Amino acid sequence: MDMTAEQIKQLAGIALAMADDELILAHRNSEWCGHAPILEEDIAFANLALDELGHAALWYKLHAELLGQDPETYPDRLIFFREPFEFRASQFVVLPKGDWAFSMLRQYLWDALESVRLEALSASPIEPLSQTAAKIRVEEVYHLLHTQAWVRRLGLGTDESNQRMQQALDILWPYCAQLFDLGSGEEDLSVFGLPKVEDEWNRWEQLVVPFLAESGLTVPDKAQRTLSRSIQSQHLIDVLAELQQVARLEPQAGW
Amino acid sequence: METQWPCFYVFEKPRQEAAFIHAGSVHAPDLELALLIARDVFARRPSRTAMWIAPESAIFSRTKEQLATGEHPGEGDPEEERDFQVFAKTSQKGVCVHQGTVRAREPWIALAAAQQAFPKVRALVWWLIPDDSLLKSDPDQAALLYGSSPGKEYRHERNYPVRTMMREIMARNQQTKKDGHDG
Amino acid sequence: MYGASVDEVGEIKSDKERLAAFEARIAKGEKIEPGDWMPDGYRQQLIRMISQHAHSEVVGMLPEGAWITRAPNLRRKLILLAKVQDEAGHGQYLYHAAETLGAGREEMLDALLYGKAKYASVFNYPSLNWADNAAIGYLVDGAAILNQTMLARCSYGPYSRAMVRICAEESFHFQQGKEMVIQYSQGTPLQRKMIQDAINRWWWPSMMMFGPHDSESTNSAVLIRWGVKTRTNDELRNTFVNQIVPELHAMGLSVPDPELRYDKGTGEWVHGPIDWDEFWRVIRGDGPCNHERMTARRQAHENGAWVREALQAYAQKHG
Repeated sequence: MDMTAEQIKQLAGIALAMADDELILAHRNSEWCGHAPILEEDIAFANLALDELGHAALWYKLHAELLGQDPETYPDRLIFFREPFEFRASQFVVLPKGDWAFSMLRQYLWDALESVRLEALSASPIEPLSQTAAKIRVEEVYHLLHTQAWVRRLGLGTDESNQRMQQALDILWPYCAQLFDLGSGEEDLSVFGLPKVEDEWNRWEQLVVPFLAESGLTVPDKAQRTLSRSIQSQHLIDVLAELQQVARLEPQAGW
Repeated sequence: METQWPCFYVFEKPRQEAAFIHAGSVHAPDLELALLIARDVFARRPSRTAMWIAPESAIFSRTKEQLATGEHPGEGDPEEERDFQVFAKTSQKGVCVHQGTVRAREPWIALAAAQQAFPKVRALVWWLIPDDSLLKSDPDQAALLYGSSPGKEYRHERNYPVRTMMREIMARNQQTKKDGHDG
Repeated sequence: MYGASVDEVGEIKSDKERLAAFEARIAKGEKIEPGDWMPDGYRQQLIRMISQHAHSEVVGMLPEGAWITRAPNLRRKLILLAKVQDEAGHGQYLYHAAETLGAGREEMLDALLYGKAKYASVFNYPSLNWADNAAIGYLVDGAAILNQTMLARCSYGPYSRAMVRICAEESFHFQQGKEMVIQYSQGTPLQRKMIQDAINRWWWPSMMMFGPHDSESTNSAVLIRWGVKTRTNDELRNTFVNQIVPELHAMGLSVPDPELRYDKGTGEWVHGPIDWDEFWRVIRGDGPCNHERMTARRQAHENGAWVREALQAYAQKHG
């Protein structure tokens, strides 16, 4: 399908938002490597982070290609040399890693969204979009199996694990809506094969709400926060100070 | 208190036509999670076509030396006849490899049945595992679970051209030395 | 896994006869497998070596792990995360090998976290600039590979098999480190300073990784006789020096050893004296980062207790 210049710009923005979400989520999850509750999970959780980093790379690449930039070098420019206000990450992924319940639940909620979104995008009429989505979707199947298995066990394990999971859900829930808003406001994104925000939310909710209930968790009666992807939290400033520190020692050097 | 979870043995099938081989073990709270974890521990690089998981406590093991030193079958409780998966290590450097299945009421009988069923196998170690104690990966999911890791190029040595880089430095050093002499 | 111990069954042989048979098997190049008879000394030495080795992999995640979030580009980030993940994997394979000798993982971890179990002293040094990750891959992993390649041929089956897997993965660790050392040595003035600083700090701790001199090494002789080791500490260390020194010099980097010299007669590099006082001090717990490393591992273990309990409880309810 041929896109107008306006549509290309719009799609590049969507790809960037998805890339930033994947990048920051991977950053948070990678903080567990060396500190997980059991050695096997140092390995497994690092795998999730590695996969998300790989997905971020694919979305940045698509963004670069749409804007006519070099897909090999532009992603690093975006990651290491943008200022915080230029990032489009949702606050959901930026929140500090918290305890194991928080990180695992966040990853599950994310994986559930990915499974809904990537299914739709795999059928997109925009070929580079459908191809990227299809590549990522392969790995997300495993992610969802892994995080579902964990959420069920932590939700139904001990009183303590249930309480920690419930606490995590209470904190995370109001941040979820922002994940669905890819920064294009009220415009119709159906030309790209993206479902309407409302429809995507409903399908995601149909997936997660019954599963959380089966896992002994109650979705809190809290309104979703209205957040814009162009307004960042203090947490992102901290993340980027760390993430960009070495690259900025000598911006022109190859590392 | 042991908080490290029980130990499960992991068997992997490297290719469609290959036999299952012993990969190692994982600690996990249950079979289902053990199977998921095994993927991350043992299929990070090579692709696999299937995995089996067995609780360590379900594996009946005898080495050639144990059998030669005259150990005799114990009086096992008579059980329902069931399938046992037979594994054998046949070379010094090798691992336990799946040989096939036998049906028996208890492990000792299964071992005798295995020796009869696979007369050419010169086993250094025999493992007999009741089939109903195994968790097997779902064939419909295998491609998705074990297929994506070959794409992770950065995990492989071949991705690092250090030989070429060193050669270039050596050549440059030679040139500098030569220039020095000439000048 | 269950298999009767040979001690309990069969004809009673004297320990002397058994030991002779055992040593004959090793001399023939046979692998000892779980369930086979082995002298208690062999079992104990192996549990000590393998668990120390496993601990080293796990503690070894920390110095590099701290840089995952700071890696300077996406490729290096993927590489470093995959590498630290591999180290967890190597610890995992090794604990498994030790478990086949009857050591419990909980017991081994307790010995590390709350007891006196040792691990490679090299991981008690701080990682102070990004180029440290280059030096760790090139020097620390370069030294480790020599040891591991030898151990892949060791007489205990499960240990040798773990080592075969580890060696296959470890070569990527070494190569990615070497790639960075080369790149930074030929890079900007700042990068050259960073890599030289890192080499200066990691050189001696890496040299100490091979352990005390042969003349001081109490375990070496028996370990060689039982086919656990096939080369001595000094042999391995000399191989390392002869491999690394010419490469560093070619790259224009120096080695922080004023007495290092090339012996034209033997064609070998000869290193100066190693500070063994420092080695023993760090091993005994008084290195620059022993406290931080153990605190980090204890915290991970203790903060994870509720997680492990919860999954155990779930397995009991739903198993």
